[in-house]
Amino acid sequence: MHRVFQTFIDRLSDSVDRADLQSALADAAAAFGLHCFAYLSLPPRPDDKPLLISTYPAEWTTHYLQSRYERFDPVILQAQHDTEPFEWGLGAGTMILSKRQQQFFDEAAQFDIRSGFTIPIHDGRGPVAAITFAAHERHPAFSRGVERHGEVLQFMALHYHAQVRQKLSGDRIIAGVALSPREFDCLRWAALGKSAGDTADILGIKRRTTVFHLENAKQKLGVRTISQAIARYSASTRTTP
Amino acid sequence: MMQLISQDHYGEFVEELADMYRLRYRVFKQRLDWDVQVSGDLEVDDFDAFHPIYLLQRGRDGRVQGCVRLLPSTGPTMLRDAFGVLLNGESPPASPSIWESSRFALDLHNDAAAAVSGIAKATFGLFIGMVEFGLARGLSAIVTVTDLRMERILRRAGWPLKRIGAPQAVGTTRAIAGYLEVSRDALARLRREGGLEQPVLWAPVTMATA
Repeated sequence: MHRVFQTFIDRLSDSVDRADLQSALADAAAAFGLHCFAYLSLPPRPDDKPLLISTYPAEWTTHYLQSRYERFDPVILQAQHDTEPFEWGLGAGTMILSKRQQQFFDEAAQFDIRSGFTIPIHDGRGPVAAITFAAHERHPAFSRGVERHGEVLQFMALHYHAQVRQKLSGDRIIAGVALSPREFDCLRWAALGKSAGDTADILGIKRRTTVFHLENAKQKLGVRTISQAIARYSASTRTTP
Repeated sequence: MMQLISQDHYGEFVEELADMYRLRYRVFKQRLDWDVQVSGDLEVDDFDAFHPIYLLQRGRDGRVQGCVRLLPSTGPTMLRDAFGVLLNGESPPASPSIWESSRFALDLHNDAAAAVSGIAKATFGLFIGMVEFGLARGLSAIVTVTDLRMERILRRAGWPLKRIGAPQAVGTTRAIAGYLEVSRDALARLRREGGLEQPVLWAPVTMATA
């Protein structure tokens, strides 16, 4: 177990792209006897698509994303509700399902996804991501594995999320500078003409927190005024639509 | 007892690291209510992805009661990448002789909180561990982002923070950035103030400072 974790950490830090990140977690999961995984990062803006890295069948993940299943997937809903890891499917837990959700599980079962162990990740404002390790069926070995390694899996999930955010943050690079997700959001709303107060309301944060993120963004971009920062933002979004 | 854990030993000390992330959850999420990232009862942030060195302190009962995270200033740091506004327009430090400390946390049982002038011995222990680490690495200073409460503790402990800019409101706290001296003088002062004569880190590190 110690060696699996060490290898996982080393491979994460050597990862440069999505494919590396995918195989790093796939191999670690396999070493724990978990046959597939799905990492779903929820977008900061509800209308945007979530980021999904997984070893589920591609046909299922494509269909899932196109159908925006993350909006009513009962596993994701529970992960949004609570920060404690949980097991689901085939007799684990008690989920009350709508008809649509039952259909969803039936569809997933066609791809051999019937049960799993899900680790939610939240920040101060709410849910941000979830990692699920899934099994074909619910046999005692899966539960035992999850019970024995649950903490390490949780720990791996948090490291994974942190690395994915670092490595795949290309869309927040402005004038060669990587902004944090909050800095990017605040600047984007400023560019749309919103005041710090408006932005605070939209993002559900304090006004002075918005001001703080904008000040940081200015510092990183090496400019003195918000107008200059907005100009840099606009220039960069024009070149990368 | 103190432990230094670097990336090539994370696997070996995975239980200790998990203990540390739980300690950080108790301190930063539950006690201070910071806007931090959590799963269950663990707190891990983006800077943990840069394979920092962790300094852990265990209590008599063996559990992790204190921790601090150390990152080289030549790479990504909280001051450069998250709290640039505290730099007051100055460039962030980027030097092999300066490391950044963050996530300084202590959670003491009442009976373990033997104190010198209102500061727990364990606090002195962690400060001394940071200086010993710094001396072993040939550092001149540790840069840190902290709050006004911690700045007062540092001053009373005899290890004053040299401020970079003025304090700023960040969420529920008043944040401040500054430098902490790494020197034999600083070490001697902390040992005297804290009444701790022995090195707190294990022998190889202590020998490196000799």
